[in-house]
Amino acid sequence: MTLLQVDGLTVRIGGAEVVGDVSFALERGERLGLIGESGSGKSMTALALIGLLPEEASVEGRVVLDGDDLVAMSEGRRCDLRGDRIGMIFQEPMTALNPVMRVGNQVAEVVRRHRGGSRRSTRERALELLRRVEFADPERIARAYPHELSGGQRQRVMVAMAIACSPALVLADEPTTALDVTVQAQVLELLARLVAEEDAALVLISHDLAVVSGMCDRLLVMYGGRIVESGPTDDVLERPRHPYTVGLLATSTAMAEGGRRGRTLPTIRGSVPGLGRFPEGCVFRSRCERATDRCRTMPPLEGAGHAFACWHPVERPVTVGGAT
Amino acid sequence: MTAPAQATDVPVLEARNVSKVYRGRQGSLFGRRGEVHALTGVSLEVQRGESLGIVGESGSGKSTLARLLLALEQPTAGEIRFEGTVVSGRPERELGALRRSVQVVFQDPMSSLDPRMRTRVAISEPLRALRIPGDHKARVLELLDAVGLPRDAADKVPHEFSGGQRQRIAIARALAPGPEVLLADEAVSALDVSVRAQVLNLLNRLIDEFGLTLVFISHDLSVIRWMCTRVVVLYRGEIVESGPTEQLYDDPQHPYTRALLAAVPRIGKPIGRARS
Repeated sequence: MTLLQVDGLTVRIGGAEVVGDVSFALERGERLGLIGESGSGKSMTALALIGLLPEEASVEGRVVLDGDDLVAMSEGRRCDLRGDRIGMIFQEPMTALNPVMRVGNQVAEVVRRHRGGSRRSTRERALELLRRVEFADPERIARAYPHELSGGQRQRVMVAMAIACSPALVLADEPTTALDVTVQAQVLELLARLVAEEDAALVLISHDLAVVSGMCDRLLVMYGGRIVESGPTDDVLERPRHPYTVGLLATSTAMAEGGRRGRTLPTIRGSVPGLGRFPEGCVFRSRCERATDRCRTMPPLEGAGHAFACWHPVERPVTVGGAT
Repeated sequence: MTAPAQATDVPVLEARNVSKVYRGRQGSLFGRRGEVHALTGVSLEVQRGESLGIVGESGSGKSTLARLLLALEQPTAGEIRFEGTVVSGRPERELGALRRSVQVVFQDPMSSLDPRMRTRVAISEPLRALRIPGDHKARVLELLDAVGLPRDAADKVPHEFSGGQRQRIAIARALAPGPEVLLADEAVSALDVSVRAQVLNLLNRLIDEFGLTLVFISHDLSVIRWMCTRVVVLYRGEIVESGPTEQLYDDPQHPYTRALLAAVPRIGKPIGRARS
């Protein structure tokens, strides 16, 4: 059953289109990964999904969660949904948490705001949530201020707040990018387990292909504000069709094989254009080796299940690390 | 670039049993004065022509070690040697050879480049600072070519470039005095994947072209693996393991190294049995 339906989502800031015609559906309990580099529009898409875009942004399209259009509804109603039906985790917990409020109170506040209840019951609920994110001593953590916790601990507090009201959807934007690799592994496993336990759907946004592909059933690859490829994780990894996805995968896998000093890493030529400087037509054509005149027209995102927006898709399976 | 032939076994850069303790400010009227042991008894040798990786997480002391090797800070104990000569504790006026021969590229070129300084001024700055004679204008153009930037980049300022291009400028500036050793401290960590690969390829080409010795400091195990022939692993201010890259990655001995390698997400490797 469809939980979230996004149709023609377009976001403009100061005349520049930062998200263009993004459409996708998310099933209940599904884990969807949104991958892209800086300037791809992935974070703006995330903010648009929960109605937290900066004021100067204009939004078109529909974001329908369980029959309710989040774009059309009042800010008051969106406030009711955020933290309740939708849990959120961002990259930097230090800016998401209130620095002068004890951690326990902040977790309890989410419960009280959406579920009400006595002081005692919300307090108990907060401690239980802190226990669920694997704090051995939830009482001590509840008394702490955010600055007294490590980055990983703070992010676990954010996870506790995100699942506090058993949301239908958890939206995590670069949740582990600021963490050390050993802590990242711990937080990701925790997130994966809790999302599964809550039977929530997950939208995980990251620049890290390994993180996203390890966590998610399905991938959306974004570039220049557009979805350029989407499909089941294994299909996209094993048979990428868009030249951008192919390039991204080639670089990442070559590096992971490692130890080949003297060899050249496969690259994507050029760099990501600045905001509003992407070419007309296919957004990737200024960096694409396959681009032709035809690419001056925007290719549609087509394909059942595994879709891609390219006039000249890569045909054969790519043997990464080979001599191709 | 052609340094006089050295006695073969003298490391170009060396840390001998260095420790660094940071003491809390004395201003506090109450409470104990805190001490942070950033590095404890670290010894390492950088041999001419090698690419040495220093890997560690936050708090491992890797950036402290970088500053000690660059003689930007003094060790609390132990010594830093450059070509066999002790440089730690020496006054700045005696560090000319080190300053010319060991150059650094940091993570964020936006904070290491002056936002108002044109590229030509930024790149030639070390030439002026180190009083290196010659045609600085020509040298700037030569360096822009070497790092793959167009010559008209010389008259632009940092914000006119992308992150990858800015890092190329930082590399050009580091190469300006003709160093033997390039120390890269998280030099590609802020870059997008596709741009990071370009900069790593550039670094490898420059290493070959100029016969550079590389000290590559990073938290990123895959980047270290790609770039380095030998690796030391720092954990809480101590070296817990070191060895040839392939050996260390294929057969890690220390439990921390094992944990670190196991934690690296890999494409196609499910996390937390999330994918069914």
